[in-house]
Amino acid sequence: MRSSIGEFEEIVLLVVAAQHDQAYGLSVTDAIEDQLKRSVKLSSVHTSLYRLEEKGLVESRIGKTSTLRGGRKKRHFTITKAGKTALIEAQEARNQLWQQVPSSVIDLKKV
Amino acid sequence: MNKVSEKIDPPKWATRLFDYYCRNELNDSIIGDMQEQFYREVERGRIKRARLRYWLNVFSFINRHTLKRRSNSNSFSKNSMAMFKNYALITLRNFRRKPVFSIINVFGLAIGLASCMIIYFYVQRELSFDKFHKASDRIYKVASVIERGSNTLRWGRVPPAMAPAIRDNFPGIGKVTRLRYTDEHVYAVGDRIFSEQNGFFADSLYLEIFDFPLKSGDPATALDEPNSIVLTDELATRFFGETEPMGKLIRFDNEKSLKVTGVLKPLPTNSHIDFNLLISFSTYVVPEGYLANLNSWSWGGFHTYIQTDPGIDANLLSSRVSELYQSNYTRSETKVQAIFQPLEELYLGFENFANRGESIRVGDKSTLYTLSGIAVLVLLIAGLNFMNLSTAISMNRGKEIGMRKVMGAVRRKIKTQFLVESIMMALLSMTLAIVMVVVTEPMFKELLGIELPKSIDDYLRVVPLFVTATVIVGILSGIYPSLVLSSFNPIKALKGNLRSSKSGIWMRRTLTVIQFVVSASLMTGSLLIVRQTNFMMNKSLGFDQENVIVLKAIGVNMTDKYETLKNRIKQNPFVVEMTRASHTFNGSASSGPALLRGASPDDSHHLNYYQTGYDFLEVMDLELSQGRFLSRDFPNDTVQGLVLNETAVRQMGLEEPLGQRLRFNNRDRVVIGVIEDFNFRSLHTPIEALGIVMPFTFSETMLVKTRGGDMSGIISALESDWKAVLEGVPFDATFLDDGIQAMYENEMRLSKLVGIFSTLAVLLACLGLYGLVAFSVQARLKEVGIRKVLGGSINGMLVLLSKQFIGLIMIANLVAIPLTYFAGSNWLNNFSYRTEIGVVLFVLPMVVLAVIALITLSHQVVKAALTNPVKVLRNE
Repeated sequence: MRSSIGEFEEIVLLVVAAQHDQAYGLSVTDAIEDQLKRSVKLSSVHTSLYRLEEKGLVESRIGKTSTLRGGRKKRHFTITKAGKTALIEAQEARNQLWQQVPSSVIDLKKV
Repeated sequence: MNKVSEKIDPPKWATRLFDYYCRNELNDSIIGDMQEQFYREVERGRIKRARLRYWLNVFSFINRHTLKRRSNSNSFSKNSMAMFKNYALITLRNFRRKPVFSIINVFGLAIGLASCMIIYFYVQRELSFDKFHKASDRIYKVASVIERGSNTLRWGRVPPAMAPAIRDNFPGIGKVTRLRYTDEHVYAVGDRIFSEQNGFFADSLYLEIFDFPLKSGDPATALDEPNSIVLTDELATRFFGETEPMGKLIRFDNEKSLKVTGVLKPLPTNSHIDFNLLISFSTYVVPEGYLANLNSWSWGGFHTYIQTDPGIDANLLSSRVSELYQSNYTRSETKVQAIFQPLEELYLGFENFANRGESIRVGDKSTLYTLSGIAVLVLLIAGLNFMNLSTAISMNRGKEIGMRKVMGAVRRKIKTQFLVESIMMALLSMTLAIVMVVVTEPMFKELLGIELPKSIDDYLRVVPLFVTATVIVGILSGIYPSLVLSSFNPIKALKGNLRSSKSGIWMRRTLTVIQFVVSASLMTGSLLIVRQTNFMMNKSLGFDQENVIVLKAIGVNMTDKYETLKNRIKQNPFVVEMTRASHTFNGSASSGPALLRGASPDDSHHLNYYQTGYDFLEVMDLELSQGRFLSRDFPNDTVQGLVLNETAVRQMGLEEPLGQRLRFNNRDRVVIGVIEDFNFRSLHTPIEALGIVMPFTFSETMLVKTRGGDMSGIISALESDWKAVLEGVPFDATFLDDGIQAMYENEMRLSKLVGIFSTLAVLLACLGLYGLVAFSVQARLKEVGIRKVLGGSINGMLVLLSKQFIGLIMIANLVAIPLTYFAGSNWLNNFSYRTEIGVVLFVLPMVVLAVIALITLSHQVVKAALTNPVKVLRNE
């Protein structure tokens, strides 16, 4: 199944894949904030996750709780097969664009 | 650090709000994330930021993923319709099961709502004054403020030269018009004679500025020609009967003929100005003896109105007019200012201005505020009552609620049920209230001048407002019962051992106390108003107002005929004395500048004056303190005699008043005597400086002092004397004290109204008390039964059960006393002559409330105590 994903969704999806099996709303938010140095709202990440779930790119399951969370359970997200395909397609599309950039403009090797 | 962070929790209300909107499936995971984030921030010591973040999160999470969904909305609505039907049915059944309580409940709220409706109509009417003119927002009345030394006069009327000067100096600003009150005159149609006082001389633009529609005639030209007259429809019918009045001639004071050029449709009653006829201003002639003419800048006797063209800045214009006024005002050391009073604020804003003149309706802000306040209080009492009684009644419905809960009703449904019930009862009350309003309308029409809406349109405007207000009252008073009742534990409720919680009892006690505070305050307040009114009406005014008849000869020169009339009248054995007077103690007096001989013109004093005959002193039973009164033995008195009152002597600083020469109203006068102060104005104001001189203008008012007794006999004797001397002059006799009492009309009206509404409030509070007592006695029936079995006496039980209620009433009074004391003293400050706030004012309401409470109590308690204990104790 081919479904288009936006740039932000792509990042969220990527983090979910990276955090394999342990990804949940706050962890994804933290990862984006820390690693991409990009300020992001918890609610946007959640919304994005729900949208990805609707599109069938991630799956969720109820996980464990901890006192740090006021006894509330986590909702863990894992990437589905379709999600992986979508990521790969996005990556390929990007590569294609990169290859079209003449080396006189940006030379990746020299950076 | 750690310890602190453990204690800090995320904001409760934020979580609640989130729970309210968020779907259950997502709730946990999101809130978990939010709290994890929160605690992490707290750990880092950024507590404020954490809280803020949490709140922001709660709001930012609102979207289509998180919002609760209405599952199967179709079946939900069907089911809820069925439930609504069921609620209605149960409401009805409960009503029938406890008719007395339910009727008390509905009736009480209905009284509250009806009071509010009536007061609402009243406030509406008071605020609607003069708004019916199309350009009402651009019409201003020109008033003047005159500052002379420390003396500031605020006059509602301005000099006659003002209007033409504005017109000539500021062309293009709009229209200016002026009015002069006609006084009472004789109008003759053929050989029929009428006297009429309700009229104005009006500039030709008057009917163009103000929208008083004409039945016939042209508003643009009706007042253009000299000797034109415009009548109201009613007066035209009185003058001409069924014949067409247009173009007919009316003799005015037997001096000139006026041609009818227009007939007005009935005037709206919400107009600050009230007249039956308008005569073209060009007809007006300054009466003989007046010292001013129409070019005067100091004779403040003319109502002047401006209708500005759109876009004209009225503030700027008024300051320019003030400059014009000042530059024309000749007396030095005096600052004059023209104030533009917006037409829409005139009626309620008049009180700030003296010299308003006749035929002007003056609104009373304090009545408006007092009544609005009372409306709120009465509604508050009614609402609290409703709340109290509804809760009390429904306490017996524990089993129903328990059953509903067992059958699967969630708490919210039960809340809804009680809210629906309360709204239904409130709407029922509203229907009853409307009936009450319609029934009592005639009474309030007289007292308040209210009119019920007449057309369907008017009703459509008002009814939605009432329905909305009623629904809000229903919801507000239903919230508490619904919260209490829906919290019942079904097991306990079904077992039947349901006692209202401690906090519930306290809540209801507090409500009762509030009710009694309000009703005790209202009672004290109305007693105070009644007392002050009586005080003013009975206070010695410094003269004898009893048995004095006021005769008015209108439009006749009495100079030759007065002595003849007097001689005739004095032959009547019931007549003690008779005199002439320009004013009759009912608030009005002329005034003018008085300048002591040798003083600089800047030191002139403002002196009110009466023009009276020689016998004024005897007729009014006034006391001389120095010198003598105007006398026949001193022919010079007619032109230069002046009698001052003590206030005038004090204000002018006269050590030796007798023989003091002064220039008063451009005439040289000598002070020949000083009289003791008397209240020639109402008791709202302190006594002012007054001078008494012999009549120099046309005097037409006579005072006849009688011995009393058969007043109607005396009056008819006076009438026959009158007819013999003054053939063809209408006979007009009134009692002096009636005119004086009329000055306190506002207070009398206010005291009546406050009396009515506070009686209602007390009645309501008692209904509430009755309900509460009945309920608490019922709840303790078993206890009473056991006490009886063990030998308790009825008296003992009465004391036992009454104790707490008497306590409540005491507490209520303790709160009410300081409240009413301060409000009352404040109100009394409006008066120069005020009664004291006595202890009785506080004791009486307390006693009355206690007695009523005891009556209701003993009724219930005796009923309970007489019940056979077996009946009560049998079923456990």
